[in-house]
Amino acid sequence: MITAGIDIGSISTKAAVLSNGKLLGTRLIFTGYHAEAAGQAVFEELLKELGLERSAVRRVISTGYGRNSVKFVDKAVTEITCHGVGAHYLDNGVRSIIDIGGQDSKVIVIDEKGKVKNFAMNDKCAAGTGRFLEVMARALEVDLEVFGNLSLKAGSPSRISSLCTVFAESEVISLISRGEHRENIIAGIHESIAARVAAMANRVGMVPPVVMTGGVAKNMGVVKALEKKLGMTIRVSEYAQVNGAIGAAVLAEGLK
Amino acid sequence: MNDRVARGAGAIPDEKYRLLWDNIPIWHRTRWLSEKFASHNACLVADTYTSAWCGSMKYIDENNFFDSMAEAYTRIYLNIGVDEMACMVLAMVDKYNVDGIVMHSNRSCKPYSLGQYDIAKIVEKERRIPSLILEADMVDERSFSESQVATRIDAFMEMIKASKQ
Repeated sequence: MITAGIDIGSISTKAAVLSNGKLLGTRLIFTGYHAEAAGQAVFEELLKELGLERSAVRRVISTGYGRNSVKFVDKAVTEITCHGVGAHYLDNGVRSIIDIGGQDSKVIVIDEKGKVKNFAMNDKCAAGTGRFLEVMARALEVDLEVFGNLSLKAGSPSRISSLCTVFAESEVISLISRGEHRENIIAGIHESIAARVAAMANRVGMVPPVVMTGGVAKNMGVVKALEKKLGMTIRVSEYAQVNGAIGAAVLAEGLK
Repeated sequence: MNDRVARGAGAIPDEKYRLLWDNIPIWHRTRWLSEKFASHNACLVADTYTSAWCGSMKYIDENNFFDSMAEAYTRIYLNIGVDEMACMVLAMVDKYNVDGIVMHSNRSCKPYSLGQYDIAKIVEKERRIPSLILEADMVDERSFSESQVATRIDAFMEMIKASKQ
């Protein structure tokens, strides 16, 4: 049986296709302003890439912020459940997930079957998310691709006390004007994100082994800052960004 | 009420999950919230707020009015410690046979909201029942983010449904 999962996030939209439990392929595009069109486009592009007809796909599940805006799917499931299932599918030893996406961050605790036991989400602002990092990278005139690794060269991380994106940007600008090294500022930004996630992890009772998912998992600086703050190693899969879409495709297999 | 109980008529058409509400309602979104929960066949069957102020009337003794009145005041839900609050929540969990707790972390009532994470942990430990925390305000609509709250409720209900399978 062939199934698909479509994860429509605030910044990017992801798709995954599974055949009898085996991952056939994944794809990622920018969401833009039209969530449903992005969901449709990423799905069609992936089918084309895999040489599959739409009719070959038995069931589709949507997830993410735009999950209810796509009408061609069989069901919409939250990204919290999908990330649990996806992480379990990719690595069945995992017990907790730190997901940092474009506009929110969450910590999810799962059981040995991948079912969600508990979760916590950031409150309704972009602090400590992918969007926050984009704003900071722009203020520092650093390409997002190298942003993460630059912080690993920091001598002494700056202190960013504000977590609000707008206030933190002003703080970063004043650090720049004081002549602080870029590496130290970036490391400070990563530490402020780690502190926020650690508080959530504490609230939800996070247990190792931990995997990190979402676009921000590609930023090694954040991963290292989190490992230091939490005192444990964090696994990052090559499928971190499409983990939710994979989880949705796995759930679609079991759908009745 | 007794008539409805006798007929087995609940507050929503197809009640499958029973939830306990904690804190003052989010007054400006009560309809949206009850419809959201009903769409998951979940009903808010009881809450800690309705009897928060009158629940300690039983301590008043007309023959020792001043002392007992002082006791009644200090025994009001918000005036007791977290452990005592958790005991009252656990008693309600048992009485109303609930599957989960929905806690409104209310910006306009800090005394009520303080300790909710601890109460949630105690209930989870004692009864294996999950809690959901919603950040909002009882009157200020600006503190309410609909799609964030919807995702949290949907995920919470998916979790409860999966655990009951």
